[in-house]
Amino acid sequence: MAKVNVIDDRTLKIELSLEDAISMVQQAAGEVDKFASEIITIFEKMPKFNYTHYCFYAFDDTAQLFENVLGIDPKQYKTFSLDAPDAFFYSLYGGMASLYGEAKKYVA
Amino acid sequence: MSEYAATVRVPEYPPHLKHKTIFETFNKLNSSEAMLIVNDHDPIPLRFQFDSMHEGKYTWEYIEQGPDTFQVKIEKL
Repeated sequence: MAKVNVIDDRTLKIELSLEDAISMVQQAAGEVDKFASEIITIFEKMPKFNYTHYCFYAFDDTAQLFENVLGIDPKQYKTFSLDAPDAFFYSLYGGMASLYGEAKKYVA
Repeated sequence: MSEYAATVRVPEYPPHLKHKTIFETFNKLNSSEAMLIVNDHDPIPLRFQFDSMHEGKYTWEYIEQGPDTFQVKIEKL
């Protein structure tokens, strides 16, 4: 489960694990139509960030899965640190890869 | 006259506007103009994104590298 520590009214410290990536993939798999754009963006863009440096806010509207697993909206804070093992990013990428083909059906 | 055509103090923007603001600022630069970004951590993801979107069309120079503040000069070629 994601650990979110509110440092102050501007700052969050977030810790994610492999299980959080699995949770995000399962949520995406359950609503591929809703998350189609996000699935496509993560799969196509994550390699350009060398996978483990991927930023969920680098592109428009691609942070819903991330925010859902946190249970808090980071947009209400100006800055946050993200601590996650490489396994988190690679598992997320693999999950998005498995959903990519289906997601493409929903996006022109 | 400032060495920079624009400065983006990244921590002043919420997460979903940080990259957007930086790239909008970069896109407004004329050739040979530079911008400065000031951040509270090493903006490595931003550099990967620049490489993917503007490869060969910019330079990246660290002016300050932490530990608390990072400043990067980005010049449009």
